[in-house]
Amino acid sequence: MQVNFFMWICASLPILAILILMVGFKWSASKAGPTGFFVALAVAVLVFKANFHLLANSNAKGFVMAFYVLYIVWGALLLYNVVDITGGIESIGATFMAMTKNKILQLLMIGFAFVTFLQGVAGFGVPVAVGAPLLIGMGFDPVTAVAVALIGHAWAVTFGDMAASFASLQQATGLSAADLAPWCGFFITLAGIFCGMFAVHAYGGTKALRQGIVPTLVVSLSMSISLWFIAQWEPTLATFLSGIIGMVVTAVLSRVKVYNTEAAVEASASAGHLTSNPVTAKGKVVEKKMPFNLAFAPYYSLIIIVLFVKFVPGVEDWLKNLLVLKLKFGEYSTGLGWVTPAGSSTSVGIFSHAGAFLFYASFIGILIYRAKGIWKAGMFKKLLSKVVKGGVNSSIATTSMVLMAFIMVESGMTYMLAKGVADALGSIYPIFIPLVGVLGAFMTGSNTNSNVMFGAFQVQVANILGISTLISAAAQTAGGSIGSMLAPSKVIVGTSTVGLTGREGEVIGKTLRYCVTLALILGIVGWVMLFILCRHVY
Amino acid sequence: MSGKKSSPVLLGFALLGMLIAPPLLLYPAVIKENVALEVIGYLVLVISMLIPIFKG
Repeated sequence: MQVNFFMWICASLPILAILILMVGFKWSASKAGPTGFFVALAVAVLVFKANFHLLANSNAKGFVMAFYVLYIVWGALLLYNVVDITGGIESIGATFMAMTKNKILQLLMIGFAFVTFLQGVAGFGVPVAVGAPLLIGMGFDPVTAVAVALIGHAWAVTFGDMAASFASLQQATGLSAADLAPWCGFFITLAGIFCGMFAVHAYGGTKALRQGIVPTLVVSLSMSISLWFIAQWEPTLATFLSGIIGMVVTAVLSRVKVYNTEAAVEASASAGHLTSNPVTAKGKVVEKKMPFNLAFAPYYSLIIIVLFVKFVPGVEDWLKNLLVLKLKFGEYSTGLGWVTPAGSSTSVGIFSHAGAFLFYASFIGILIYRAKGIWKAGMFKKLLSKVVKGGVNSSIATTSMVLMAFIMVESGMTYMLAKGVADALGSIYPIFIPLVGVLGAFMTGSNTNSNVMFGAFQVQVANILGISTLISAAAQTAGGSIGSMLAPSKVIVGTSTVGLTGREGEVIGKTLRYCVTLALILGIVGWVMLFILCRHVY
Repeated sequence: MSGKKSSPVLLGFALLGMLIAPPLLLYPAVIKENVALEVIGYLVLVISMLIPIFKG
């Protein structure tokens, strides 16, 4: 297929439509996504000569991928709400809030470790919605609180929400999870080290960072490096366990005398921006409604379920074969000769999928809360309503963008885009891979959707340039992950929760420099890996 | 468009349509070369995609 400027512009129209509608017209992803789908459909038929059989097949393939991701998303949403509805999330937060008066440790505890844990179990802006009010309740200035929660959770989004974004990258690129995980883990680890420091810097600049550099590095290194290792073992648990490790490490640090002397506490308070009245600033005065271990019981269940399935011989294979979703396709091609070879869609084991584990843990959690008398009558109805309200819009956005992405790939539009970019920028392009990921997350408010839109594109560019597809895909998702700190949809969640509606610009002004700096650092590191250190990685 | 009130039930049906049409209508239609089923599949998919644009 010959690349020409007209076709390149046409191929970029679906993505441009989403960008313009979301950024220019402030449309939500659930409205812009379907519009992008229609644009892709029209361009595929009229310009790229795709027939309707081909489009039917690509939609069916897209469905399997959407199902794969949504299964995790809905399971995570259910589990989070089971704990939240009983006051469990508040109790977990209150336990950690009570541990120290040192502001930098409090910030690391709630604004970095706890929001990472929340990202591990929920996503959808929950870390910002829950973390920012807690920080204000601890005395942090509202704009700083929202910015810190955004920065503190952003690094871990790829493996967050039970690795939904990682799953989407894997599905969009066709690369295996085992091959992708170490490279994604590497970039995310690097991002984590910086995000820990940036969160403290956002609170009190270099003064706070100098004061808190040791605990910041201890916490961020322990969280990031553990995430790298866990991601290679079980990606779904990486962010979740890394957040727990961060909370434990910070809890241990909060017992260290040197951080709890009167002078250290005062110095930490004078280093940054605090508010005089957390209540009028819509902070949250949290209450411990149940013991920590009880609140955490559904998450303990999740860990036990995963360990049981992975380590008891035969269980995983048995579950995998119980019920499988997999579709087979013949070869088909467009009128311009772009061929999609015969093959199968990805395979989804209905009972062995990460989403299934989340459903099991949710039901066990309900049973535990019920046995302890915490689960009251009427809570199930409230739970279903919260889950449905929380999941429908994001699922529409994800599904429509996944279907759009598959139409683009199978009609040759993604190849056209990739070839144009590779021809124009050549070997300089990899520096910008994370920035493309950031752009996707900024537009769609989601690392998952960023990977869906740009994952296949990045791999095609890598193939054309003859560089590693694994490293390119990993740099893409790292960019998508950190782009969450800029995404208007997440910023609005934070500002609206703490009564800062209309001041989103101040928050974005604070997170923008960290996001762009980090994206460029990741881009340069990626370029060095692609062209110097890891040239032989495929 | 942004001023219109969103309908959660309608959006739920739209999502269901997006998830049902490709595997249960479009895919079997291609396999069995059934044009009528394919037309129905596209209709369901297009209507499901239009709902969020106008009611989202």
